[in-house]
Amino acid sequence: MSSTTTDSQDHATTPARGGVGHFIGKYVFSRDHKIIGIQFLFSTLLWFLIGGLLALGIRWQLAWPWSNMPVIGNLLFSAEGGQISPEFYTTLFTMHATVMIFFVIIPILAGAFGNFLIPLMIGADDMAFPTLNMLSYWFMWPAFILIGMSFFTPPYGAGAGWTSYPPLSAMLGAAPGSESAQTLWLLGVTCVGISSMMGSVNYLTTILQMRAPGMTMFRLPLTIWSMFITAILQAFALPVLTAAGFMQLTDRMLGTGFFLPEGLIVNNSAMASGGGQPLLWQHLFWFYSHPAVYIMILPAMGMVSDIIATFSRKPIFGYKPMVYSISGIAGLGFIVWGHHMFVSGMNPVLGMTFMTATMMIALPSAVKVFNWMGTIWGGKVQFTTPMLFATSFVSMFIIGGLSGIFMAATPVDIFIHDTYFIVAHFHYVLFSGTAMAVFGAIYFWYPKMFGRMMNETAGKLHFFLTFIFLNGTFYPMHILGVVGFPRRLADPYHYETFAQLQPMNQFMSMCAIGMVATQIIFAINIFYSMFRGPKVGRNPWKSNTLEWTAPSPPGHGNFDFQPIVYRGPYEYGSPEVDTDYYLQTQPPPEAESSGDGET
Amino acid sequence: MGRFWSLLFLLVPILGVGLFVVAALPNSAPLYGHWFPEDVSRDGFIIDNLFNFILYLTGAIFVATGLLLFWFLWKYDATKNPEPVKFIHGSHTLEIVWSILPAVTLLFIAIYQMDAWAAAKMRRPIISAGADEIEGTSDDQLKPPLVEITGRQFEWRLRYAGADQKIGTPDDVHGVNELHIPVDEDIVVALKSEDVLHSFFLPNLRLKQDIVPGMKQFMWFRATRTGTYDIVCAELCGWGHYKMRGRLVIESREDFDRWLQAERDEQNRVQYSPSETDE
Amino acid sequence: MLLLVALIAAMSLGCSPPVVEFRPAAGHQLAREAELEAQLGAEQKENIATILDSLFGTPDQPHVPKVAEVDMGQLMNQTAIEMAAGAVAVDEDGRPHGLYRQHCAHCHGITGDGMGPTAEFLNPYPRDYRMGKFKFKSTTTNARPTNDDLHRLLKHGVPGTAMPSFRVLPQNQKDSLVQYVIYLSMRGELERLLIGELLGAGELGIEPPDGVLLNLSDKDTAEFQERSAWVQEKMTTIANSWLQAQSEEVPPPPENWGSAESRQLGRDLFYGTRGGCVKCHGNIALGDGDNTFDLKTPLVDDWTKENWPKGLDAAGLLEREAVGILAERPLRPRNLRQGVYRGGRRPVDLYWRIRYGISGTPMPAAKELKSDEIWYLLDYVRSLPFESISQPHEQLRNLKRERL
Repeated sequence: MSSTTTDSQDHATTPARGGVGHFIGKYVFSRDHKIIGIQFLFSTLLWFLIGGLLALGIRWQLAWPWSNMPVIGNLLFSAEGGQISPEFYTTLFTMHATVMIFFVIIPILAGAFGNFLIPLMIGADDMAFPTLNMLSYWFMWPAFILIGMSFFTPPYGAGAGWTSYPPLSAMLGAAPGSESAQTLWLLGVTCVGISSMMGSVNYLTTILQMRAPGMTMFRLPLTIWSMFITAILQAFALPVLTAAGFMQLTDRMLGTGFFLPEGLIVNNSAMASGGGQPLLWQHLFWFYSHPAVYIMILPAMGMVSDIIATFSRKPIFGYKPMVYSISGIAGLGFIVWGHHMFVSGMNPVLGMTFMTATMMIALPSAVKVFNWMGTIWGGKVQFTTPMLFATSFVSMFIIGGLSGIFMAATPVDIFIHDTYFIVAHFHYVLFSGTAMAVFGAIYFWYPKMFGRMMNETAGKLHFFLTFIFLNGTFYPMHILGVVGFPRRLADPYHYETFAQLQPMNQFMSMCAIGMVATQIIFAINIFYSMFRGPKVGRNPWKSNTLEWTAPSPPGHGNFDFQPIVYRGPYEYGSPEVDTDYYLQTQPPPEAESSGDGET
Repeated sequence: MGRFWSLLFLLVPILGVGLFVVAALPNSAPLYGHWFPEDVSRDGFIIDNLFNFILYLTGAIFVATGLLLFWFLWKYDATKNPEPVKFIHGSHTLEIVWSILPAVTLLFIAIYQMDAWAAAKMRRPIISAGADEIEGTSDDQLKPPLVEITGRQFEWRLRYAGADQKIGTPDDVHGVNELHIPVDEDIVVALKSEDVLHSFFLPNLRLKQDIVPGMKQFMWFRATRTGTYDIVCAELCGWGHYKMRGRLVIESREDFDRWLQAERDEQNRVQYSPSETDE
Repeated sequence: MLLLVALIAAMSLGCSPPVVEFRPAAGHQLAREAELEAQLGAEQKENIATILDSLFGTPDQPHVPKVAEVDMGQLMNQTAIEMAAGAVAVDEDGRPHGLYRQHCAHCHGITGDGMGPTAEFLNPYPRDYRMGKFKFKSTTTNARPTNDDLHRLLKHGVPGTAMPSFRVLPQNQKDSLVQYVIYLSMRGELERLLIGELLGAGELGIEPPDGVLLNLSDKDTAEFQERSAWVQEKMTTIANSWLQAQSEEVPPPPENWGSAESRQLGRDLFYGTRGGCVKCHGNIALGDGDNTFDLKTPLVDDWTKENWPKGLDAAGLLEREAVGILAERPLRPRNLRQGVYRGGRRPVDLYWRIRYGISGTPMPAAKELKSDEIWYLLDYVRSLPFESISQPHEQLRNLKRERL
């Protein structure tokens, strides 16, 4: 399909004419993948702030237990002098994780970047199903509202952990946060799931069917490969979570007994249910949630590859091994879920099988790290803000990945399961890894989205402070885990084993406060640059992939010419041309001499 | 600026290893008590050794990759590096090498630990190997549990078998939160939950088992030193999850018997006169 | 920019912690106001608060009340209640403070009213100390618990409820908490008397809504002296009731106690008219006796009875909810087949439960039964959990194949 716009190309930046009706038509009802991507971006960044504030609540309680918690203590617990209640703590960590996983990381990777980049990078004018795309964003809003409502039900949110294990979550009296808040939680997560499924279908179809001429699968940028594989993961894993969520809903509301065994006495009432098995939920939940963690990292890995290649001015080292590694991680990701359940009481024989598979999944991740380093080696490294974030992804992912080996070792996991060692591991891969990659991606693709550059000095300052503070917050968690410091304890220091760990926790909390405060620089940079940042042309970074041939920002239909692809995405430093980059759409030198290269 | 950023990334392996070294060294203030808690079990050292082995291995990889990353960033800084870019798409040999080597290492680690796992979770102590005289078969006579620990929101209810060695009979001794265990004996405990998931965690014995309602589970160990230690709940069980602190008292068999008898007597107390004081 | 300003303004909300105050006894006040058909005036409420503060101090700064003719040192000392009160902290000597807030307040409330933030989620509700009634003790029905009784509650918790065992706390911390509970209870008891007095129900002839009990700006008047003396007299009575609490003697069991014969005798008593147990505890002791089905006069404990008097209209319901009173719940007699004994499972504990009843609940004191009969009865009750019909899950399990 060729682009057809004859009037203004830049719909995205043209001021809305015609008042509210036009605004609604243009933004709320937009089916343009770029607008939808930006809608996802801003929604998820707002939830990032909320999730971060919830984390600060956790860190405050761990640093100064039962002291007056700023703002929220005065608001909700003024009768107790601002001292939070224990059930509020369960709400804090439940909602922090829920928000970060379902409302930030997954939607920002697939919904924001997937949406924005996929058609642009493959040379299409939009997604295969634009209306479905619009709906996938719309379905986030019921989720936002439902979870938002749960913040106003006692005790201010769901409180059974983001893992929502029954019987705690499935019996109404079992926990304060297991009443209506938990129902809202289940419904909200289901809505996110529906949104993700719609997105998956769209991305898979678009990538398979709408690539520009010449764009073979092995000429796709790694960002697209990772989005592709991630979409497959979503499509196969999500239905299991949705089914499990419904089963828990019916256990709670209709008296079914999927997860509830007989003979339970909760809150002094004998439960009238039976025949269920709590471990069933764990299997179903982790069957989705383990692939989910790869959903939460693969797109980041893809984007990091593109950024590192661009700023090393060198081809990606081992493109095909990188693709196979992404596939390997995804494939293996389906058979390792039991490593979350080593001590759960499941048959110990499964401990051995899952341990082997889990050990093996470290391999493709290691291959990727080596390939990134191979990309930097021998290049000409430009230390721009996106490159700093992408490089820190590699450096931090090494830590996160290596720490995973400890918990893959089943006997060791007996000790470190449900301790802060696990918390350290997943915060390293999810925050120091994915979130840093996301920040880098925002700096990198911002010019394409908004036609202006973000401030480079502020960007570097943002990077530097975030990097220092995140390591200060999360690295000591490894040490805490070695002591056996458990997760989810509102007051761990009354145990003799953990009493001496409060100073370290205070240090970590202060770093966490610094880290959240640093994001103010980022927020100001985003908004300020949108109106006052220096305007840029199509390819400020001199990158190879197709999106940099479109205007900044692209109009409807994306390209003002039909893209034709002649080569892979990473031909930086090619001897065929004088420039140190070589656009995918640039015809090779022989063809150029005989014409203008267009069909 | 490139130099500055390269050095920043160099700090990662340096400080990263540094923190672990300071924490692991015994008696190193201010990180005293920031490493493994005291191990008072016969088999806990296996887990500690496994952990340390993985730590050295991953530590070496961490340092090597961290140094290499720093070195590449330093050397190939565009503002300082005059040479042209090495236009190379990869190396088949290297890919094979760095696929096979980690694969073999990881498989080795996996297989190497299976025995430790089986010992902890699959080989329950037996009194006798049964008629076939082979351990691990279905006719083995399993060692009965000394105590049944029921996790409940938010405490550990204990039930010691009485003289009949059976739990669930009127001569059981009931307790809460304070678990006494004789030292230097193979102990089996039964685990139950009354309401939701809990997890029985003994940091000083390197043991953990999630307690699943509706399942009867067992844990076994041998304590090698007397003392008082913590029992921790390691699975979110509600608002009082942090309150489920128990006390593990490991004592000699004589002390244990004496304590159990005192508890039994108190539990069977049939007389009270105001001149006595309780507690 | 606006967002930044809003953020800073919001954060400054945290800079000055709110002052913690005791909550007035609204439930009792509403109940007495309805009963006496009067209303407390604002000045009167303030006067009550002032009197209580001057005698007892505040949640952050308590002090042992001075009581005429009573050595309060036997009940509590200043160091101990200071350790229990206030915000959670550790002072320079490493001594903890705020123990009550750390361990107790989120259920039992800052005021000891059983209305902390967690309370609404618990079944049964946490104890409201302010009536001076405690269920599980070794004293006569309407007497206060002894120090040992309270220590026993802390040590063993209350099985079958959310009250955990605080066994692992150091002894001096447990002492401090017990003394603070007595402190809160005494304060609550005095408050109830003051409310009644100011609503015109008392001896001093004060009329609501304007009559103030003690005009602290007018300390020289004879009225002030007389009324202070009255307050002191009430405090003396309250303090003495605590001081005089004494565990009741438990006579030894009969010779054949513990035998099958003894249990049979107990069984006859349980199901017979002398014991009268099945009316509440049910025909097979499942706690589902006929009395539990009476919707007109459901079984409730005294705290619920006061908070939710019969015949409340919608306005009354809303009034109570507005002051945070927890939803009404009927009281269920114990299911005796579960082997859960909230007040302790020792024979002496069961003896006290039966002989003196459970204060604050419809469980009556068995005054007419002889001590031997009580022994037989409790022998039967103790055997109930081990009957085969009491353990259906065990039976089911025995039918299934034995797994690892």
